[in-house]
Order: sequence, then C-alpha cells, then structure tokens
Amino acid sequence: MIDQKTLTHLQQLEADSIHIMREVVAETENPVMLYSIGKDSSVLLHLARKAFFPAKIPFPVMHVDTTWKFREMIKFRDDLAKEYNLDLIVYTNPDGVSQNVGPFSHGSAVHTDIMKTQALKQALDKYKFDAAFGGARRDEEKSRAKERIFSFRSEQHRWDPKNQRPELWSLYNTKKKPGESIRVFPLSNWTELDIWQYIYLENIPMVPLYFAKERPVVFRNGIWIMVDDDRLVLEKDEKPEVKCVRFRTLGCYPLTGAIESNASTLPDIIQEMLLTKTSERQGRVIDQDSGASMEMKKQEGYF
Amino acid sequence: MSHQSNLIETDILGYLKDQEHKSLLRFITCGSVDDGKSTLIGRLLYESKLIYEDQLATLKKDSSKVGTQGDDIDFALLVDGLASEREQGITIDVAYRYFSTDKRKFIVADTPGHEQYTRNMATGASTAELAILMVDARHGIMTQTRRHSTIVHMLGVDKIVLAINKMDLVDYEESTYQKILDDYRTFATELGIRDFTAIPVSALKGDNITDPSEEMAWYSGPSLIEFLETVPLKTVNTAGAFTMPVQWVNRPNLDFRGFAGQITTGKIAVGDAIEVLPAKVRSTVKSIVTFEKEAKEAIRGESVTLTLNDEIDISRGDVLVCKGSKTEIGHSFVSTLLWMSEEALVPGKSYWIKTRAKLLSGTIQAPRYRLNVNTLEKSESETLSLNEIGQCECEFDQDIAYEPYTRNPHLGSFIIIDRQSNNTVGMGLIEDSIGHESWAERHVSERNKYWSKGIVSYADRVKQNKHKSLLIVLTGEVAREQYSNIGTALEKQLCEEGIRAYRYGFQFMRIADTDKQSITELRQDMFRHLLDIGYAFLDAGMVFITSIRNMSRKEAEELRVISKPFDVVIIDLDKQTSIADRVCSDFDTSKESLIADIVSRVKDS
Repeated sequence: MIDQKTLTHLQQLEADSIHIMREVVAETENPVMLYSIGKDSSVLLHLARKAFFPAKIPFPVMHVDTTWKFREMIKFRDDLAKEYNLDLIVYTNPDGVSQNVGPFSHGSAVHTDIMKTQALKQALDKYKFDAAFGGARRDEEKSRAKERIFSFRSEQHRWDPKNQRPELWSLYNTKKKPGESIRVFPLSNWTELDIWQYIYLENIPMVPLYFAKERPVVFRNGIWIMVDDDRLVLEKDEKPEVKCVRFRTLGCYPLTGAIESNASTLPDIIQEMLLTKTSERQGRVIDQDSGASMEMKKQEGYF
Repeated sequence: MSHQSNLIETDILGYLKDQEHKSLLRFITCGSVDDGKSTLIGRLLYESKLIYEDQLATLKKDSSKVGTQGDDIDFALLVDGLASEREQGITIDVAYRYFSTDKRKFIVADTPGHEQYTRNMATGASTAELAILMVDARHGIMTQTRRHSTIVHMLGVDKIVLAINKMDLVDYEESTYQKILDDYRTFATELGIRDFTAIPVSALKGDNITDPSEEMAWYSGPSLIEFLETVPLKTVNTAGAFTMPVQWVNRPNLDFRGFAGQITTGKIAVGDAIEVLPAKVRSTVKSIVTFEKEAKEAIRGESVTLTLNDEIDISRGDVLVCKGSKTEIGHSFVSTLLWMSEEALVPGKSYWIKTRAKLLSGTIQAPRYRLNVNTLEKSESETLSLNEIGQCECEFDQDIAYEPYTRNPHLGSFIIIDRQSNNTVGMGLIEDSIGHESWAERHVSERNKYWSKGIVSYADRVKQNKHKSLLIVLTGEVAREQYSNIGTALEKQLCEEGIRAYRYGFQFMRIADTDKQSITELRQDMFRHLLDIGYAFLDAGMVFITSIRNMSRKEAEELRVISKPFDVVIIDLDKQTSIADRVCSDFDTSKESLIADIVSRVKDS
C-alpha cells in the first residue's frame, strides 16, 4: 500500500463500508448486525471486525433462524461465533414453531412471511434495536437499486420508497423518532463480483455449501433440492440422486436450488459465476413471482 | 455476466489480478424527462454484457407488455425499479447501476429529470466525478439542462459529457448537433464551466455508444464508452495536506486509545506531527492500526485507526490535520444552499446541521440572493423553497474545522435536518467564513512580518523616478496574444514617456504541477506569487504591468488588498461577454487618451 498512489476499487469500497459502520455505531443507540450466514453476511462481518479492531465488534450479531436452514449453515455459524467471540443472538418466531410452520406444509410465501419477515420484526421489537446492518447490494434487484444506504423504517417496519431522504455526499442523517429504525446497507455499492473477489483476497471463511461436492438431491418444481434432513418427504416417483452440486445463494434448504457444478475452489466459483448466463437470485423461489414482488416484501418489512 | 474477457475461461487468476487494479469512475446521468437516460443506462448494461439471459427474457416480456418501443427492447424497464415508476414510465428516484469494461469499473447514478425531483438529482451528483447531461436532439437545450448543469457545476463535478441523444430522429444531421453544441457552449461559459465534451448518440439504436456510428461519419470524437474509459480521473491527492475527521474513539481497554476515521485528504505516516482542530492541540502519530498489521503510512480514502504519542482529549467531531494544512476554524459561514423540502426555509429557526465530522445546531439567515437556475439571475428573496438555490449566512452553535467546498468538499459540506420531521431539508456548501480575516488579509500580515525594508524610502524613490508606482492588471476572456500585445505596447509607450514600467508575462497554468493541487488552490497560489513579485516592483517605485485571465470580482478585491497601499488599475480587455461576476474596468484600452490617463495618474501629486 505504501508505494501505491491510489486505492484499488475494492480498497475504496472497503474504506467506505467501514466509514458507514463506524457512523452507525457513533450515532445510534442500539445497533445490531443481521447475519444470514451467506457470502454477503460473511463480508459484512469481516468488515465489522476490521472497522473496530482491536476492539471487539461493538454490537450483537443476530441470526433469524427459520429452523429450515441447511445444517451446515448452523454449524458454520456456531463455530464462527465461538472463534470470533461474537455476541450472537439466534431468534426464531415462537408462534411459527408452535404452529409447525414450514415450507412444505404452508408453502414458501407463508413460510417466508411468518418465519422470516414476521420473525425479524418481532426480534427487532423485542431487543429494541434502532439500527440493523444488512448485507443487501444494489446490484441484486431493481427495487434495491433505488434504496438508500441508510434506509428508514416506520414503527411498523414499513419502507416508503417514495419518501426516501436525500443522501448527500457521505453525510448520513441518522435522526429518527422513537420507534422508528434504520436498515443500514454498507455493501450497497458492491457487486457480486466484488464480493467474491474480496472473499478471495481476504481469505474469508465460507460455508462449504458454496463449493461443489457430491450431495443427495431431488428434482422438484424445476430446481434441485438437497435432501438435508428427514423433513423432506419424498413423493412417490422421487428418488434422491447423488450429484456434484453447489449453491449460489443460501437460505432455507427446501427453497434453495442447487446447481450442478464442479467448482470446488474460490477461483472456480468466480469463473463459473462469470461464465454463467442466469442471475444470482434465480435460484431463490421467493423472487420468481412478479417483478415488483421484492419491492412489496420490502414495504412490508422483509428487510 | 460481466463483459466478455477470454481470460475468464483460460486464466481466471490472471483475470482476477487484472480486475483488482481497475480504476473506478462514479458518474451520473441527468436530463429532461424523455431524453432517454434510462434507455442509455440499459444500453450501457446491455453493451457491456451485464444482462443475464433470465433478465433479458423478463425484459422482453415486460417490453411487449408495458414497453414504449413497440417490438424493440425497452431498455428503460431495466432501470425503472419501483412499481410506480414503471406505471408512470418516469424515473422518480436515483437508481444506482454497476458495470465494467476491460478498462474500468463504473458506478452510475441514474437521476430523475422532473423538476420536483431535483433533490434526488443532487443526491446522485454529490458523489459523482462525471456527469452525462442528456439532451434530446429534437428539442435542444432545455430548462432542465440548464438546471442540471448549474447543480452539477455547483457541486464541483468538473467532467461533463453533453450526450446529444435521439440523433436517429433528426436524420443524424451534423447541423443539429452543431447548433446544440454552440447553444450549450454559450450557456456553459456563462455558468463558468471550463470544459465539456459533446457526443452525438442514439441510445435506442446504439450509435456512438460503444463503436463509432456508421450513420455519423462526420463525427470524429470518441464513442461514449470510449470516453468514459479513458477520461483522466481526479488524481488521488496524496500530496495535499492530511485531514481526517475523527469518527469514533476506539477504547477497548485502558491501554489503547485509537482515533478512527476516513482520511479525507493527503496522507499520514508514523511519526508525523498532527494538530487537533478546533482545539489546536499538537501531538505525533504513534501507530496506524489496521486489522492485518500496523501500517507505516495511510493515504486519502482509507479508513484507519491512529494512536498518538500524547494523551490528549479528542472526541468525535474533532479533525486531525498535519502541519501546513489550510483547514480553518469558524462557526459562521457564507454558504450556497439547495433547499430540498416542501416546507420552505425558515430564517432564524434552529436546525440540526450535520458536517462530515459531527452533528450540531445552527440557524440560517434569509438568503442574500436566490439564483434563477435558468437565467443565472440573482434576485432578492425572503426564503428558499423546494429545489431552490441561494446564498445564505449560516451560524453554527460551535466552532468547526472547515475548508471552502471548492478546495475540500469533505470539510466544506453540510446537510440541514429539520428538528421536528428529522428529514434532510437542505444541503450546504461552505464558501467562506464570516467575521474572520480573508486569506488576502492574512497574507498581507504574514508578508509585513517577514519583509525586510531597506533604508531608501518609497518617498525617495518617487522623487528619483518622478512618478508614483502603479499596478496595471489586464484581464478578461481574450486570447493570450492579446494580453501580451497590449501589455508590451503599454510598457513601450510608458517607457517612452519616461515612466519606469515593466511588463511581466508568464504562462499561468504551465508553472505548477497540476497533479498535486486543485485548480482553485493552484490559481490562488499563482495569484499570490504574481502579486508578490509585483509588490517588489511597486515598492521599488515602478509601474508593473501584468495579466490575470478571467479575474473574478472577488479576486479583484483581493488584489487591491494585497497591493495596498499602492495604486491599482484593472483593465478588462473583453467587451463581449456579460458574466455576472465580471470586474469593473478602470480604463478603456480603445481610448486614445489611455497612455496620457495613466501618465497623469502616476504623475498626479
């Protein structure tokens, strides 16, 4: 770095993200980081460790657990929390648990709403967090491309896309009324390639599910679903096959499609991503409805 | 996904290495409602192969359903992300887009055209380094073009592309392009925009986007992408003086006290002396703490944590600067404001003010003037309403470390927050502090301190020369030759009249290393340098003739301050333009009596 006159684009993105995180810690009362165990969350966590080093991360890290995540994700989460000495909160919607809500019994829409959207709102209310970091990027989806880095939510956690505050220079207005909260997206300006490249350069640990391996899968509704536990009840003509697959995004295992792949290292993954012809979120069941579905979900409080 | 590079398939590690060192350009696109901004961005994404097959399929489906291009793909649908935008077919909010080419990475802010969304446009412009102003070739320069140019210029975006779009609808005629170019040049000059690049394009058909247009062989300039890929970026100013607002104090235990912040200008190394503003306490850097290891040096843009060798009280909002920094301290300022709320500015009301360093309270006076962004006329006003620009005096409740916006946007900008609604209601750019001496006055007192006087007095020299000294400065927007022709002629004729005159001519911009300084800083330094030389001649009792291109009224005032107590004559050689900030000319060079007038001025006793 000493001999370089300018920062590379990744160094610029990193420095700006760290600035955003420090600003939140300095100006809000009770921030939290939402941690989904995926690649964007991993980068976010890494940046938080850098931003506050040598102090430990000065806020808790919260995982909203739908109880349907891949087992490997949960193990990775718990190992990492121990290694990094994280203040980890795991929250599950108790109503959903008592009603046995799941994607198979209730469908993806109801499951996502109760176990993810409602659970998140409950958790934010329970702990009275006034700011929550998320790993969303603007290049992911059209309505996200229009969202501010500091995005306000009403007391009911609603997003009003038509009434966003102007966000000028790097001057972030964190003023809010009691009950209102802010979603903060430090990775707003990162692209998918930036994320992977940063993971590669910084050697950030990743859930093994991102890497290709032989795994048992069934073909259902046009996507390969991994048989992660015995809650996946096989239909009559279904037979699990062992295929070399990996996942481009991670979520609830019944809602996350695997892709056939041999990419078992980071450079392999990046190469595969660059040569692929379908977008990242395509493997997610929840986005396939209509063009405005993400915007609607966001308005309702889905992060 | 990304642009196609053979390296992806053959040598992914080599490709990643290349990617790592790409530069980043942030730009905005702005223009009137139907100029085709969204179409242009969609086209850029499409041309850089950034659209996936599934997205393309959705796009084709949407195009036939709600698109406005018949059977063609409606690229605008890619960017108009909010449901209400797609329904109304207009862009409401800033959309950020990302694409890259073999040479560069780009972050694009697509900003709305409607006047009611000017604040969203300013949002996009505040972080941009370049602006693409879209103009519809059929309509030419519109009110919106003027408004957007004003805002872009005000925010210091100095690279401007005038994209004359929809050339396909005017039969790709050169004369249409030329007329718009000329119209814009007139307006831009008046506004003070020094440079811009005009490119005739058709975003819809793809002309001059990536490749030269076959339809417009008469155009020999770069295509849009080519220009974006090669335009020189703002040099990262590591040579400037170090400044860093302290964001957060890192105190994990009693033994560690670090000051975390993002370096806004310059660089810092272990051992460097620093000063803490506004308290003006000094110390030296003990260490630069980063996650990987301790660094020896850090540069502008980096977010770092510094520890110091002395235990001094520093908190969020303080600014660390190095010796020689031009950062000043003040609490009342003349600022340019852009108002962003439906509720008009209430003069005297208390607002929250957020600067790069901290949050404070402040009041704003009724505007000194309001700027008509279409005519550039300044008029009286009691307030500023939504989307209006004006100059106001602002008074903060505490001192801050600041620099004028033109020199350091990070330390010269603030936002205004309403205490009831918590909304961001305005943006402010610091021009100058009020009630503090100007740099010219400071320069004079510095010079007087170090000027060692001889025993021959000025009165003795007047007696010897038989005339007083005089500073003659030629100015105006004219060719360099005209300056030197008139300057040398004056010098010769005055000498023939027995006046000890000397003309000093040099090429202003060529002297300094432009990489290291902003244009404003450079101009101020040159200005000072020139007047110091002139001052020696004036002190020696001579008539000193020189030229300063396009001097502003403020500079003229500074010039008179710096040259005190000697007499000054400013001659404006330019009679054509009517720039608002134009200086008053003391003499007219076309008058036959010019030499006699000057002679009588210096001989007058």
